[in-house]
Amino acid sequence: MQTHESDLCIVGGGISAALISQKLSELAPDATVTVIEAGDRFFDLRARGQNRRRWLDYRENAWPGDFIEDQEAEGIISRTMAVGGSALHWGGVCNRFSREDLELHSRYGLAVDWPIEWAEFERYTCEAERRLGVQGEEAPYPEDRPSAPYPMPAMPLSYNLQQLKGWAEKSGIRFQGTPEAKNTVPYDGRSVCMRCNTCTVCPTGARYSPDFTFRKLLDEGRLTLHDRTLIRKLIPDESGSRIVAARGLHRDRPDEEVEYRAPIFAIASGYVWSSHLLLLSASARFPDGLANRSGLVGRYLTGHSFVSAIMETDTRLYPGMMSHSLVSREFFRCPSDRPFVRHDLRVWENEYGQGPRLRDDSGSVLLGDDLLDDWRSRTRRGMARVRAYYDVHPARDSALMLDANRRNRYGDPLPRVEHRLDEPTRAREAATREHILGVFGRLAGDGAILDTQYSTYLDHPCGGCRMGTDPSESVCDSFGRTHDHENLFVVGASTLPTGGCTNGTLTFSALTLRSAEEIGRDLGWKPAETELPLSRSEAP
Amino acid sequence: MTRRFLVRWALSLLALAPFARVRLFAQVRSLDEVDRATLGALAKVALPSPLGDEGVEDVVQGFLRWIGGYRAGAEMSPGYGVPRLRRTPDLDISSYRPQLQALREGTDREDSAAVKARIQDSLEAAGIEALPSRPDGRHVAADLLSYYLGSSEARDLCYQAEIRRHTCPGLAGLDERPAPLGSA
Repeated sequence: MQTHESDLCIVGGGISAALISQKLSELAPDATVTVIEAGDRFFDLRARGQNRRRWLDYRENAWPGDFIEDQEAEGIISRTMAVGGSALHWGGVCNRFSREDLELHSRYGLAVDWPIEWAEFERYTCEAERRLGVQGEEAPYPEDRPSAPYPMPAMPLSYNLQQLKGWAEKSGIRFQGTPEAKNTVPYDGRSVCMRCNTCTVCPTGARYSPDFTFRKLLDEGRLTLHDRTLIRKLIPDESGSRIVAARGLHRDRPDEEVEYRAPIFAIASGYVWSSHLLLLSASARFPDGLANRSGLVGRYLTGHSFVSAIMETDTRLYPGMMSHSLVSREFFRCPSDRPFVRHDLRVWENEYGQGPRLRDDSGSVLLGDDLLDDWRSRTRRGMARVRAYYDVHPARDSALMLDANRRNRYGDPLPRVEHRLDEPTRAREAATREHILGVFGRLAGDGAILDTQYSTYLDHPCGGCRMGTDPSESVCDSFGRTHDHENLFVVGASTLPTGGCTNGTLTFSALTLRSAEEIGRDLGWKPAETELPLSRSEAP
Repeated sequence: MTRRFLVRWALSLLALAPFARVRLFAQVRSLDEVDRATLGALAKVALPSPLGDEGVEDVVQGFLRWIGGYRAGAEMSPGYGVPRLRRTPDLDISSYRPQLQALREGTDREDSAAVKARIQDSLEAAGIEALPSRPDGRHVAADLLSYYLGSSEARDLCYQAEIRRHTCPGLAGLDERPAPLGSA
């Protein structure tokens, strides 16, 4: 068996692993860090441009090979497994959670409070914005203003978004450009946004993705990256209180077991595979898997539901100028004396029903100038897509389970994911939707609402190893340190107790950076007494 | 046996090859000059007139490259919330030649309205209801239109503005109404 040793072994090569590795390379520069990723690495920016072209021309996968053929869960919404993880092709949206997300129980008697104070958490959110390179404008609501400004100027609102903002704010609801990890100036060695309008595969590197961080750390010799290596089991010591090894195999040499030994392990495998690995690590001593004294590993899986609609606006738009959007945070806060409802509100340009078509309404075939005239006639009134992510809370049995009937080629049972909402969430569902449709009505004004869709799944899924102070009610503490194993951390989306009502990447990135400090302390880093949040002006 | 016949014969053999990519290549190559001229005549009628003769010819050349570049069995963009892997289907454009031959009958002597009616009838006969999202080989006119109408240039023509979608024009001017088409 091949054995590798390092000071920190990170299982999973997504955004959380990138941020921990980067921060530890600053806090504990002598510490050796190994990142193990089951998928491949995609570091070739030129190939990215070519793949983008084929995606545009033929709708081929812009990230060919970013998955493992038989490593998929029943019930997941993304199968990406690669160095960089899902953040390889995220849109870069960096909306913040709000104070209410951390205080749901104490404010509203719902779900649980997070085991961390808002002021402290907010500080790490600022750090995450700096490390990811987030652009944003000043929030119109004072409660949303960060303690430090964004590290780069806001993206100018496109002509279309200016028109849409004017249209949307007639409702009395205030909007701002959505904060995103897209460079408006050259930043951290990456290009300024060139407005290629394909953010899920950014050909210039202007939109942050973790592969840039990994590549930099590798170039500087501050990281060991083992890709195509699937970890199948964590091994505890005799006492059970510490993890001594992670075992798996290289996908090109599956007959040869490989072992990683380290004084600290961090599981950063996303909301599905983190829980999965802990459950898969069951043994005679730990029949329910590791870190699972509470029985909560894989439980309280969550995310947010949504309602979306297409609306006619009163303005002419030119769709295709840029992938950017507006967001309102007006409904992040809910007075405690009113029925609970929290949601974000996003607005995009859209071209619903406005594309070119071969046949007109009567079914006649259109060609040449007739086709062009028909197309033009349907584009005179701009369309908006509007969506509200709303706050829902998980039931205990919203769970990931090992499915004995579905196994990968190595014989490991694959996960099955079943989301379930708690009783209060289900009880208020109708009122929540009614409220959101009322907000949509305010936005639409005299314009028609052409299409309304309700979520059939939870977006931005998270949870499964929720953090908390009570070991019987949570898997890990606020740093991600598991209650059961002192040197085992879980970081990333799986630690979130609740999924908020907006995109979660910035939030779990912030928590991950806080975890990195705790891991750094274990590795000998001593914070200065006057330790302050890292300066905004200091590029990572 | 002429050299041209030999080449056509060799290409038609290739078209029988089981390998989809080789067959597609051979099928594109097997469109001879006469077929391509008919395709040009079809394009003049099927595409918007503001393109002009030169623009139409550019579209036709681009279309043939597009068809030739198609890869059957490539991973398709999975889409958010669609975790199953799907692959691009096989593309067989063997219908193009007979369609072009049928259209050729009148393209050299009929006016554009008659040619247009002929194309419309041909699309009806083939049961084409909508533009395909990628070439599907069912009808040469539908695939040609799909190619052009999905382009940044077609969008700009429709909106009569320099939107320049997917062309990476940079952030300058983002906050202004796109310039009228042709003014840049």
